Amino acid sequence: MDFVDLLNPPGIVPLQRVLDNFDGDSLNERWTFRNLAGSGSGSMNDQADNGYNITSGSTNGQSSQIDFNDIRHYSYNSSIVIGETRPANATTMYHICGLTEIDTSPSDTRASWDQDTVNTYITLTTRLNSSATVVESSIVIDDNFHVFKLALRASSVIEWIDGVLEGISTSNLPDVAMQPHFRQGTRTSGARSGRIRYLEAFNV
Amino acid sequence: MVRIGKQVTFTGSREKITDKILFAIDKQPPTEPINWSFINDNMMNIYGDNQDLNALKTFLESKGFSFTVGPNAPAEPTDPGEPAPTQDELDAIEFFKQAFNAEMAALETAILASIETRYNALKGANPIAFADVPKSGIKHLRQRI
Repeated sequence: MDFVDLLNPPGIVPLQRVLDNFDGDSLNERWTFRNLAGSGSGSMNDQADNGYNITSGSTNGQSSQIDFNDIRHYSYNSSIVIGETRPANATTMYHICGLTEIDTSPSDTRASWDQDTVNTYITLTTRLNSSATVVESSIVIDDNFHVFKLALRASSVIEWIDGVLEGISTSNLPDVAMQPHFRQGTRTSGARSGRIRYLEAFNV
Repeated sequence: MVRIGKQVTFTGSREKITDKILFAIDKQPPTEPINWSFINDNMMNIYGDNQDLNALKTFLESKGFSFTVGPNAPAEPTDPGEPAPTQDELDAIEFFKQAFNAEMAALETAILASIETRYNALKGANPIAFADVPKSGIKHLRQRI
């Protein structure tokens, strides 16, 4: 039994359901690693319960990401994405995970949970092209794993953190199909690492 | 339209009040988007147009929810966006790029000169064995490097 079984009544058949535990000695082939800026790196983490690690380049604004190489299965208005991620060090960095339209631009249409040290709290971001809505949760950014869930609906995106309903955005909602992504970036300076150990996405 | 942010004390669970607000928004779309997050199990920060929030309060109270508007919420967060390298950083990158290229060019020249010297020495010591090796071999080597 996994999260989808716990969160849904019997009889729900998730479509295009993907589930990754980020285990073993290499990243599953469904993922593509890319540097969005600078020369970061990604590899399985040789540490208990730490999944896959991305380390961004050391210059301000450099970031790296894993995604589905522009294969977009997931509906913008009827999908769920669940993940467990953490920054390795919650200092001068940004850490984004969820669903995104394109994979090469910072101004991507997306729905994501963000940990950006410009802010104090973990946020929910819904972005439609260059306009974004940011909803602050009550959880302070830290370097612990948290379980995130986003429900993308017709007129809202709802965020749960560690099983608690935290925030709702009803504006700048995505309007195109999307793919999962996990991005780690550097603010100011210094290579920054982020870990992901669970991701699940499906349409409902 | 005046967009404001307010702290609100409510009754009912986070899920119930959320469902009700979404229902209200769906029934009567607001003039400005309404977004909200929870401070704890009975307090939220909610952002929207002043009149829309008043209408929402009236609606929720008519459905039996308490919805008490308190002080202003913290400023609505904005997307910080991903940082671009500063001009100083771009200058530094360009400086290292040029310095690296200059060092590589100097190294290439030194390596080729060393090979040429050795080639001439070997040829001088053994002119018969090197008779068939064209001098242009050095040029080929240079191109390959």
